[in-house]
This record gives sequence, C-alpha cells and structure tokens, in this order.
Amino acid sequence: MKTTTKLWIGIGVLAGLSPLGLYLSYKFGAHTAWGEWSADELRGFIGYIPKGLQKLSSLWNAPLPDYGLGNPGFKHLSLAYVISAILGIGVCIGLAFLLGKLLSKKETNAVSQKKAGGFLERTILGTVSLLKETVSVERVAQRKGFLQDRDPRFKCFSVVLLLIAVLMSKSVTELSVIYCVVLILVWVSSIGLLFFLERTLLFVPIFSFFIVVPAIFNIVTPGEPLVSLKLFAWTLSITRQGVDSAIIFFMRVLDSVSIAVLLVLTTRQHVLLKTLRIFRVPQLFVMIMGMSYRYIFLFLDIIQKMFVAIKSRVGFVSSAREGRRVVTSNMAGLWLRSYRLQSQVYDAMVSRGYSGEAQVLDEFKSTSGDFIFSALALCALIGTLWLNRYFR
Amino acid sequence: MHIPDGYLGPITCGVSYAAMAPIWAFASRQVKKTLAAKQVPLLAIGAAFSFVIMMFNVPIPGGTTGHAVGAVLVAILLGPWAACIAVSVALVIQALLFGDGGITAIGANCFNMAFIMPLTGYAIYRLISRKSPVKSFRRVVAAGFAGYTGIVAAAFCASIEFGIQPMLHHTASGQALYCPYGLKVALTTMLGGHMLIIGWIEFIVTTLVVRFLQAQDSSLLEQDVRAI
Repeated sequence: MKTTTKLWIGIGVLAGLSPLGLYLSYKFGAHTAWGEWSADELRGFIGYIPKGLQKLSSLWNAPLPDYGLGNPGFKHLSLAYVISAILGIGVCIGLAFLLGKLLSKKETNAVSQKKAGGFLERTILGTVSLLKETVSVERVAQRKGFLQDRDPRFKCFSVVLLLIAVLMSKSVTELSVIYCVVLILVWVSSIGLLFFLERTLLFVPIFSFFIVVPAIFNIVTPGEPLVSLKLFAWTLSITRQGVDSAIIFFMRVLDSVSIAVLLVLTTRQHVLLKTLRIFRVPQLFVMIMGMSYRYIFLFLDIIQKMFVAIKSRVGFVSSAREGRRVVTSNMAGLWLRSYRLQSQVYDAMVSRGYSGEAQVLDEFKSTSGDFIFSALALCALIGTLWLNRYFR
Repeated sequence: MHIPDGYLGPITCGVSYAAMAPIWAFASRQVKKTLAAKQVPLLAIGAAFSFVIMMFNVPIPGGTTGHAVGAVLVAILLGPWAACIAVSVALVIQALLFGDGGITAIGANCFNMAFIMPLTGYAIYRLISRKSPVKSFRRVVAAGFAGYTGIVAAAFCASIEFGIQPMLHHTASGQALYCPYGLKVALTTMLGGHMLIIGWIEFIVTTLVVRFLQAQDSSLLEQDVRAI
C-alpha cells in the first residue's frame, strides 16, 4: 500500500472518531478547554463579560458554529461532527491544491504569457492535455471496481436520478450526506481519492466558489446581518441568508460535478454515448455522436500537428493581429480537410453496406446488483422529494 | 457560456429540455429533407468541427486569449438546422464526457448555443448578405455581424436564465437556492461582457474564416443555399 493511501485511511479514521471527544466530555462531565470559553461561559465564571471581549467575539460568526451544522439535538451532533470533519478536510485539500497549482503554473507559464505567440502553445497544451486526460480516464474505467462492473444503462439511469435528487434538494445536510456517499463509491470503485478530487474540486466548484462570494453580502442577498462594516452612510454586511445561499449553491455544484465525473471515470466513453438510447434519443443521434466522438480526436491530432509545425518553422508570431490570422486560417483549413473527408467517409460507409438507416448495436448485460443500485438511487430521489416538504 | 449543474433550478432545466425536444425533432426532419443520406457523416464531422473550434485559443489585445463558440460559422457552412444538430451533439459530448457544462443544464445550453445562436446569427447573415455573390466583401461583413449578434443573443438568453433563479427558487427567509444573482447583475456582467469582448472574438473569427474560405474554395460557402 502506498504511503499516501495509508495516510488517507488514517485521516478517514480520525474523521470517524471525531465525535469521541463529544462523548468523553459528556461522560466525565468535562468543561470547555481551558482558555477557549465562549463569552457566555465566561459570564458564568466571573459574573460579567469583559467589554473588549464582548466587542470582539461578535466580529466573526463561523459558518458552522461549534461544528454543529445549525442546532441539532445531541443524537445528530455526532453525525454533524463527522460531516464537519469531512468538510474541513475537503476545504483544506482544496486550498492546498489550488495554492500548489497556482505556484507551479506561474513558473512554467511566465515566459510564454507575454509573447503574442503564447496562443500557439496554449492551444497545443490544451489539445495534449485533453488527449492525456482521456487516456487516464479510460484507464480508470477499465479497472475492476463496483461502479465499473455495473451495467452502463443502469448506471447512467441511476446517475441521472441522483443528479435530479441533488438538483431538487433544499438541505445542506442532505447534500453533504450525498457527497459522503459519492466518496464511498469512489473508494469501492478503486479510483484514487486524490485523482478524483483533482478532477472534481479544482475547476467548476472553485470557480463557482469565487462567483458566489459576493452573494454573501447584503447588496446581493438582503437579510439578517451576521457581520457589519460601516463606511460613512453605507453599511456593508454579511447576511445569514447570503451565507446559507452560498453554502447550498457550492455544495450543489460540488455534488453534481462529483457525480457526473464518477460516471465518466467508471464508464468507457464510447459505451457511455450508446447508453443514451435508454433516454429515447433517436438512433440517428446516437450514431452521429459516436462518429463525432472519433473525429474529435482526429481533429485534435491535426490541430496539434499544424501548430507544432508552425511553431517549429516560424518560431514566433509578431502580433496579436497576425496571430488571429494564423488561427482563423487554420480553422478554415480544418474545415476544407474535414469537408473532403466527409464525402470519402460517406463513400466508405456505402461500400460497406450502409443503407441510410442508423443501426446501433446493444451489447449490455444486467445483473440483480444493477437493479438494486438503481432502486437505491430512486430511493434517494423520493427521499429528497419527501424531505423537501419540511423546507419552505 | 457552458452553464454547469447546480446553477439553474429544476423548473428552468425542465422547461428548457421540453423546449428543445420539438426543436430537435423539427431540425432533424429539416436536415433529412435537405441533406438526405449524406447527413450522418456530414453532421458527425460538423459536430466534431464545432467541438474543436472551441479548443482554438484566439489572441486578443492585452496579451491574453479567448475562444469562439463557432455556432454561427457552422450555420453559415451547413445551414441553420444542421448547425442546430451539430452544435447540440458537440455540447452533449462536452457535458457527458468532458464535464464542460452540466448534464441537467444540457437543455438550457443547447437552447442558448445550438438554437438561439445559430438561428439568430444565420438570420442576420441572410439579411445583410441578400443575394450578393459568394465571393463578395459584403458576405464577409455579414458573417462578422452574424457571429457577433448570435453570441450576444445567446448570452442574453443565458443571463435571463440565471437572473430568474432567485425569483423562482428561494426559501421564506429570502435565501436563494440556485444562482443567487438577480436579473440586474446577470444582465450587466454576462451580457455586458459578451457585448464588449467575447462578441468581438466571435466577430473576428467568423469574418476571417469566411474570408479564407472565399479565397480557398468558395463552393463550400454555397452549401447554405441548398440547406435552407
């Protein structure tokens, strides 16, 4: 076992054990740790609240006060502790990753960014990283694992049910529970946790996080103020409604992205496109999608070769204007080539017996496990709709 | 402009899927009539082309790069309804396999970029170019404004979709459940950004590609006459 895997297990165990402190302090009647008293507790000890402390203690209201996720009873408090632990671990990893990416990117891109020819490199790097990404995803999809062994049709159907459940949900706790389930599915499908988080945390959720930050202020979301800052006649405050909106928005995006990536990571890509048949997508569309998928890689290869050729022969592009000419002439060239290709492909199809009728082969087999998996996903959706009655 | 999952509420997602179903059906009937048996490889390659167009980094003043959507360009090359199908296929592949745009938002993304954008753009293209010869400069200008109008129209629809979320879905205390920004913010940032910068990338790309094709093989620009 790799050292990192061992460390991950260790962190997981610790997160699971986090309610232990709650139990022990309850059992032995212990008080809050020395020096960590809240203002109210302090009043109990010394009879009054020191003025400076009172002023400062209301300066910042934590989004998850006392790791409690709102105000649940004692029974739910331990669950809230575990969820808080997982959220905390997630946020720490996300920030560390982001920091690492930002720092390492600066070094490699600092040289090429300034030049007008930077777009050449960026396009080349873009195509290469897409190809690389596809290969590494396909490798995971070929492994043995829980989700890889499921019938793609049932898996796709269940994923859609889960996505709808996430879309309909109105509770952060439910979204957190779904996220935990996703992480368990990642584990039983032999996907590396870091590999998974790198694909699910970095782009869309982090982007959404930055998008939603302004929404916590009263200018976007008016409501009950948590922290206020007075600037002349103008009050800027963070509102409870704003923070709640931001948290549920972020969790929903994170859940949806994670579930979608889970599907992509455990299904061969060309198979995934075929499963669209179960959603009554016409055969014609499925066939076009399958063909188009293959041409994408051909085109990426063509672009990459053209741009590498330009870079190795010309070296640099003098201005942005010149750059735009290079890019658009390549687009036009690509269309010329693909248009010619299209008529050859059609002739080849006809010579192999294509009669104008689209035919897609179905080669799927389902087991009882698939039915159970889909049934559980359906339960999640029904459960969400049932829970929604309590949120108005 | 690819809307991810979680930004739009269930009503918007459902309505946009429901709106796209008859559009897709109509488009495929239209394409069957005009392109006949050759439709499958042509649409497949058109879809791959519109996928790949978004991969090209276009240099813009200030040292950075942006990318075009290319839906109007595909509409000029293949006709508006074929473009609708080709761009939809590209968007579905992007959402399903590459995580670009959400799965629940495929309906909305297709409505903006595969329906509104190519059709608006194509209408402008026909309106300005009229019966001018294929190699005329007028066609180049028409293509540019078609690209600009197309992407701005798509951005307008997207910002309306974003902007109605806080109105449609919120709790009793005023907490938003989906995209928390109202119409005012969504229109100024999204539509403004597209009118000022991204629209002009589309303008430049559509113009220059049409000009290059005029010089190389102008017969490719005559496709549209057949496929209306």
